[in-house]
Amino acid sequence: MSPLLYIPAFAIRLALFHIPAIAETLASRVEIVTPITSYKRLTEGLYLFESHVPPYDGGVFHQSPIFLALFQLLNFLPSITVPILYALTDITIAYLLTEITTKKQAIYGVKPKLEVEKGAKGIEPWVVGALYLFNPLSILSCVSKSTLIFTNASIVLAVYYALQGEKSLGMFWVAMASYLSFYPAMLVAPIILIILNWGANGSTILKKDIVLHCVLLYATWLAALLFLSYQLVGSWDFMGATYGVIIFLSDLTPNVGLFWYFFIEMFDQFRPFFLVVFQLHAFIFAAPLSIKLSEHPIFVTFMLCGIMGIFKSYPSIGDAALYLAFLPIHDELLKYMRYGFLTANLFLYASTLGPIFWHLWIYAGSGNANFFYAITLVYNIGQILLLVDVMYAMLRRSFDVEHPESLGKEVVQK
Amino acid sequence: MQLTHLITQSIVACTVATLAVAKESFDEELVLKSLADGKLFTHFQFTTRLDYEPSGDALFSHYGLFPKAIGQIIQRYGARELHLTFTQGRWNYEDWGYPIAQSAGTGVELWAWMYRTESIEPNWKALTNALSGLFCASLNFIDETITSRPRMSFRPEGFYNEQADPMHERQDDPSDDSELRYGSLPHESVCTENLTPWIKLLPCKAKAGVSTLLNAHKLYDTNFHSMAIHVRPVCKDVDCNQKQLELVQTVTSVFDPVRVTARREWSFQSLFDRKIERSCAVASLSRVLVLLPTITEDNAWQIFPSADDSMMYKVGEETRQVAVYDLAKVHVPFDLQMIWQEHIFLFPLQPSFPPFFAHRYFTGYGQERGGLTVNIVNQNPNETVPVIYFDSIPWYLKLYLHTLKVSVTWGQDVRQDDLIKQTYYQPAVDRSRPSVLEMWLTLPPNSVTTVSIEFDKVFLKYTEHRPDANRGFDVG
Repeated sequence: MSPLLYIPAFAIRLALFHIPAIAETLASRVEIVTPITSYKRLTEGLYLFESHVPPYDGGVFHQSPIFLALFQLLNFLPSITVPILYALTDITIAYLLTEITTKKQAIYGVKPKLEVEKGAKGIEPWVVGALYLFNPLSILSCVSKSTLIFTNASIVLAVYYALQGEKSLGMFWVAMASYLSFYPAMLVAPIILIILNWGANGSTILKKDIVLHCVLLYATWLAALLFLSYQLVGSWDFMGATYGVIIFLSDLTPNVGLFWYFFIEMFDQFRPFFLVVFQLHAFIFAAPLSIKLSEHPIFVTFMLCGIMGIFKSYPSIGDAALYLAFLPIHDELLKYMRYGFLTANLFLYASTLGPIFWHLWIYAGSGNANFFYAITLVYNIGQILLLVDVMYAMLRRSFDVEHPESLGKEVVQK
Repeated sequence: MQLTHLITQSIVACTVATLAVAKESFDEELVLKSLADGKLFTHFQFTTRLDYEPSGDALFSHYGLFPKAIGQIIQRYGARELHLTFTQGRWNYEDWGYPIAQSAGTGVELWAWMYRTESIEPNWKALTNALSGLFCASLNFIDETITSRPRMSFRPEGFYNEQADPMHERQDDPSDDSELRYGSLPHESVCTENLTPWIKLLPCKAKAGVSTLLNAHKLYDTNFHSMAIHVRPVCKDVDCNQKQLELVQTVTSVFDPVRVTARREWSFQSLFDRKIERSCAVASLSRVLVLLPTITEDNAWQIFPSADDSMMYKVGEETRQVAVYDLAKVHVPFDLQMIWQEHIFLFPLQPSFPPFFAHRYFTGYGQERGGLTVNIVNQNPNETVPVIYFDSIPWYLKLYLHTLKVSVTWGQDVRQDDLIKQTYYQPAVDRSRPSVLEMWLTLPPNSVTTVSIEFDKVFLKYTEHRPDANRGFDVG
């Protein structure tokens, strides 16, 4: 099944890369690329780096130094290498998702189930891969050459290796993801939970020691990556230019998120306060979710990826592509979801009107910033509704599994 | 009336007294030239020189002709050299050729060589604020977000350049003790409130000499006007044993007499609505110069009064005449008049392109991104011309250096590496400094060189938009 799946996915991506009108338009859409993932800015950073102008001493380049090293290396190879790298990364993500699904189904197979689920086969693992590969959002994000794809790959790799019980590799990829785009730092908790629950089969080590070990590994990998970056560019300027920009939002280019409009309009004296509020809000879900759903760490990863995709400072549709890929892994929840029709419509509505309102505001001049902001609000409401719906489904199913006797009974609140 | 007379006398007395001590001199000149498209170019130049030692402390405690306001500012804030221009309009190179004085961009342009001390940054800030107060201009808006430090485009014009004789070994490089600061405000509109304080710096104000003609109502009713002050240290002799501080004040305007009368004729009365009533007593040289066009059959003219003195100057192959009037000798009130033997002026249909000129324009549309293109034309048939292109772009345009393209659109096929000798680029930092691009280009003969670069328009906070946001931003 797999090659049949990967070949057309690969071909679609390469074909789109070779239509310059499409590839260039996608690479400049605010919905798809952000100041911290733009390939054009990466090219500029690389150009400055190669011309011996400090790339981080300026307002253009906000990406990790490791990209400079990687793409400098790729410059020595034929120009087709970059599209192939992007397409292969997407294929890798899809393959890993398939593997993760297989593993998850094996683990959940022995857990208590609902009566209706007994005997029913779960989703075919390759379908999960296919849903990612043929999701328009992931195709668009890939063809735009957004460097977010490497963060997404790191997150998927972290989950995959954690399921394999590879503590060191699992923590390395979380560290890599946090190093690349800062927010995935909150995934440390669910990844450790995966290792703890399912990765460390038959080991006699205390749980506390495993956690400590993992945290230490994470800190070491992260420090190593930062130090390597320092060695690459020869100064610590990159910290301010990458994480500083993500945290303090110095570039106010619009995106599909909630930050830019607020911080364009914000009175200067309230700026630090609301920055703290907005950033804290993105991180605040990590702990309660990890505690409440400690039995379902893959689901926690999905939820946190979704929250990142909505509440991070520079989100793009690539973030949505990632968490939407995690959703079908938990196919048993789909029957509990209530707002499928509404959510799907909100997504469609936003993806049609988003580009139109952007055009009205920026090019036609007949609209204004409120138009585009309104449509990003619709998009985010759609995403939030989806997360709320899935969360409800998860809790409801867990309750039903624990209390099979209550099925079909009426609940009366007094 | 008598009181005024008394004051004038006492001023003259004071001036004479200080002259003996401080050794100052003052020259004034007015240059007029008819341009090919019927416009009239007028250039006032006032030069004040003061003998001084750069390290002298109490330099401006006693002053005569040299304005104390300027002297104290440059001494207090450690400016070695200062250049400030206020310009409105665009110099039309196609029709007007090259200006006599250094041309400047629209709005306000300020650059200074500041002595390198620990307080150079506060000094520059204080300098811009002091000049802002002095000239009633928004120079205080030249802050660190606009200030740039070009590496190649500017050279000090002070004593060291005076003795740029290759035989002389330079004693100390001027860049050793001073640094360049450059800022411009293209949005600034220049008007009479800037001219009034500028006139006050002159020893005769607008009371006598050629400065009488500085009538704001008329000067600002022109196609182009530029007002400048340049302060620089110069040498009196070859070995630079005696140093002088030179202050050059200029007002350049391009009048359009054809607009009013359909003919090119002009007089002081018609141009400035004034005549010269008397010469400036403290000026050691006070002259009016008219660069005379060649007389041909369809270009016959007369000038009244005829010049008692004339000089010759060379333009390329041909020699032209200059009528010189010494204001100390002419009959007052002095009104110069030039008349053409023509019923109506026929506008030349062929533009007279100068050998070398440039055009800069924006490309693209929308509020998201755009591009900047400069065409530099070298019409010289067989000479390669080296030029330094300098551009300081405000931070709200994010330049992409990797999109910088330099190409020759006609003429020979030249590789980019042969065109660019040297490049200096400083990327902008949001809300703190501009982008600076400097390129040393060698233009092949008879060619158009195109420099283009792409940029993103930065989205600004609501407080960062200028008043009247829909007018847009000026990029100098």
